[in-house]
Amino acid sequence: MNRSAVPFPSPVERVQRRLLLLAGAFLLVYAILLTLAPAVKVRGESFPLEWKHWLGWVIWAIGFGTLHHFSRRLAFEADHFLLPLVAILSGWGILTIFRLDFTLGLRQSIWLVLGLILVALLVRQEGVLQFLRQYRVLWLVSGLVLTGLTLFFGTYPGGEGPRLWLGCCGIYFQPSEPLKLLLVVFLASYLAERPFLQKSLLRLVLPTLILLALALGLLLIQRDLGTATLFILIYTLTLYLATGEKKVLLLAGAALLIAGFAGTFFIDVVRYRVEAWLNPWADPSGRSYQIIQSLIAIASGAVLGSGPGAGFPFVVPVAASDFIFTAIAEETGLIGVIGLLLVYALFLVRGMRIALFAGKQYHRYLAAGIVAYFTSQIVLILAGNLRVLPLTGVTLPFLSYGGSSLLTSLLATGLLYSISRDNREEPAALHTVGAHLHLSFAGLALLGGLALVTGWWAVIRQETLTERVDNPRQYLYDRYVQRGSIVDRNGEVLVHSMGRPGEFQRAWVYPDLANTLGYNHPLYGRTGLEASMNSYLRGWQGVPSSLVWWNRLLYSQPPVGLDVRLTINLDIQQVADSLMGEHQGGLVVMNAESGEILALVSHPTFDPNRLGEIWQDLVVDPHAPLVNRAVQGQYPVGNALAPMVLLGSVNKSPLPEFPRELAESCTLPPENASWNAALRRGCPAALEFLLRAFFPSELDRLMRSLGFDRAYSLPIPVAAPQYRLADTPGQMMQLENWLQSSPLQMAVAAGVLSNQGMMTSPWLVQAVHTPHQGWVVINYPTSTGVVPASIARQAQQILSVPGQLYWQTVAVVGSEQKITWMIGGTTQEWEGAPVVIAGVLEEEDPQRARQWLAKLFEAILNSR
Amino acid sequence: MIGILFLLLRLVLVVLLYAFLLWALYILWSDLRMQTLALQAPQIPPVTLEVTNLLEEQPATFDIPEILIGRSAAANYTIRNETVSSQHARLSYHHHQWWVEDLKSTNGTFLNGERVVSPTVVMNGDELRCGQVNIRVTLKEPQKQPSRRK
Repeated sequence: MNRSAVPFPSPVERVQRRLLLLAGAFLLVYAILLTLAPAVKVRGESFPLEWKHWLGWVIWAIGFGTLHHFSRRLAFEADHFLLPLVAILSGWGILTIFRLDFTLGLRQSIWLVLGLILVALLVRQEGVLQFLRQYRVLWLVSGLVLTGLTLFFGTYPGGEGPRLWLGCCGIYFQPSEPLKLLLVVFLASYLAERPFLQKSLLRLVLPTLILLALALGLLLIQRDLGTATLFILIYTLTLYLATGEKKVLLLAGAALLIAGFAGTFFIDVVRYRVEAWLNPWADPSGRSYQIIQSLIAIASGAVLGSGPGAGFPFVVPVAASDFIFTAIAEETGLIGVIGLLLVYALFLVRGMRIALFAGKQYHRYLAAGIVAYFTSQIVLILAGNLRVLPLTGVTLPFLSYGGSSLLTSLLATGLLYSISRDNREEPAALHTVGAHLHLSFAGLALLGGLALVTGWWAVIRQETLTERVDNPRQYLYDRYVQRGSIVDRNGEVLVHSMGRPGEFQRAWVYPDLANTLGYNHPLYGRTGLEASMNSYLRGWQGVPSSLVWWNRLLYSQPPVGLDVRLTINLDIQQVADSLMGEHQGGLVVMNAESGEILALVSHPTFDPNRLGEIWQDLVVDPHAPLVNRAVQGQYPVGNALAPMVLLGSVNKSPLPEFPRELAESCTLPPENASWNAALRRGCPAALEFLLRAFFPSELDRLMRSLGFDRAYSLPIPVAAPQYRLADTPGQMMQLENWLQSSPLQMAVAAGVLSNQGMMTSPWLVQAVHTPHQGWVVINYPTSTGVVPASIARQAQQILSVPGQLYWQTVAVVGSEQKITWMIGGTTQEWEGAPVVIAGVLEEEDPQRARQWLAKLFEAILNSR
Repeated sequence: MIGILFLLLRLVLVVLLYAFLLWALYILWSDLRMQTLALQAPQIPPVTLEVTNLLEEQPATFDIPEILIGRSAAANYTIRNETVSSQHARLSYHHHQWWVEDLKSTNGTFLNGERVVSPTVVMNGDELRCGQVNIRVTLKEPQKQPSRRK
């Protein structure tokens, strides 16, 4: 070892130096990782690097290097673990804060420098402890006065919030932080002066109780409940350490419980916190937003963490102060959390050792009190972050952002250091061995328990938590890794992600299909195919699991998403959309043989590219643009049922001659009185004539065989038909009352006429494009025979349009609000694949419906 | 590529964190062991001084708490060499350790090549130099005896 830089090395100092070097190396690698992280997030496709946090590392290295230099000249007995432990903690904190917010990091490093200078001055001065002891009342009272001043001059540096800070011009200080330390100093020196073993406990503690009550009163008025809880804990533990009386613990425990219950009933803040703690899942976007986001972040970290800089810790509110543990857990994982807790455990052990070996009772109580103060604060905030206790807004010592907190923690460490240096004498007699051992053990056990709880969230509950819809990372991944496109049957892009890693934007090339394609929005959630196909589009499914695992390990991201191919034919879809135009309604074009949906129209629709701007209007729009009318619309079917009833009739027995009397009620000219003319326009009287023969049981059988008793499963939300068999023939005639259906349902049923009596279930998503096997077909449709092919042919001939290759029925349905159904299909003479159309126009306009059918069939039949 | 580099560095990070912790724990444990030994053997561990660059001086072993090194015959360990002051340095045992202290000697006292300015801990195998005379310090483990105090 090169000793030239060290004039008189003691073993103590060698240990301190080596530990500091290891801490420095750890933070160096941490800083390198932070530099590389932005490039890793975009998978090296561009090379953005982050340098700002190096400022923090340099300040840390100079600060602790200098402090080490100072401490070398101090007496030999000083504790050689304290400085490295504090160094690794505060360095970790500084780098994490820099990573979260550069400005906060800068402020925190200024506080760090200030704190280290104070510690250097403190440890060089002999007799600081004595000085503190002499004027203890003065210190405590001035601390109380400063805290009291926040009642009148208090501010909140971040805008609106609890007014716990004093200061101006950019520098703020929270007097309740040093007040904790002053309380410990006061208690230690007071208790050390009293041979309390004989006297009654009450007489001993009465003066301290009055001061404590004063402090608590102040904090309660300020609603600084976390600090108030800490005060009670620090007071109780220090008293217990000094007296060894177990009843102190019992009394304080009871007091805290009562205070908790009283707070739950009388103070709103406490009640909200307790409710959010007891049942956070009830209100995940409101009161328990923070805690749930915290748990999700811990779960995203899992065992190894995403690596420093590669996670998304800033989605948790106040990540730099209250939730810095969450940020660390996300980026270094369970393994980092266990390391962090071990560092705290070592600190606790060393602090307790300093207390036990202290030469004076005052020193011992002071050291033990400081340990109690750190331990209870660590446990309180970590338990809050991990949903073991209700959240309290206290800081994590040395790590959290907060100048007053860092300064106080460093000063407390300086005091511990001075105590450890001062034990030239033999240790003072220890009356309360049990209390010291119990507390050390309890502290270590609590830290171990917190590690176990972290494991619970990060490993066992990991999948449940990360898959939650309110995990914002799911949407952030889409910006960093390409999400799959959705294309039509010919590969025309309908929606895709554009840009480059880090800036991917979803672009809907064909927004008219918005109701079917859906959207994937961090605020408004997921709908349509974006929701049902999410696992393919996002790359979780359909990709070899080794690839998912590898991407997760390297980048903490899912792999590139898979493209999804629909059965939609964009040409036909465009024709249908332009026909529908500004009208309201829904329409389905379907291949009756294969079940492939060729077009799915729902108007009005919306432009998902502008979802953020138009959302407010969309949700209150009376025309319900978010509803997919083609598959979710519940339209009364009424006379549009003609083709299906006709099919049933023909199947039962040949149609009779068209009755003369029907011509009149169908307002048909006598020369044109035929079943064809009556049924093509959906004449109610003709339909009634046919229906009577069926009632009741055969009608039910027919409806069931045509699928009106069930919904088809599609990867988008589908409404089941409202089907209820009528009780009497009179009711049966009011067709709108017992059957309401979507255009999709009608298209499937009408398909039987065009597809030789076979009925095929609908098919929307055809295939996904996997990396190794190319396009893989998913969801095969199924076909069932309903009637013989000859029957279907007879029925379609009765409805056929003269001189055309298709049959049709157009019917106006409804009494007050009239709608026009249009149903049609190709006939036998068409040699291509059979096509059916079913649609609703939410107006009374049969003429227009016929035109649309004609134009659509023209487009379809010519497109092949 | 950068992903793999990042992953490796992440592993290094974990290794360094746990190296810090394990080393700290190891020191804690060995401190504890030393203290237990010291408690077991409250008497002074014998120290052997041996001049390595002069042939005439014989090694000597002491089990007293203070050893005076010097040219004078009154010293516990007398070295007849003109670069050594008459009262040159003192080895003393306290706080469970041997310490060396320079007695304002003319040519100075050095421990492992470093000048001794204030009392400094002496470890087994350390090289002490008084003037031009090199002395090897050998510390024996304290003999194991039933402990008398706890």
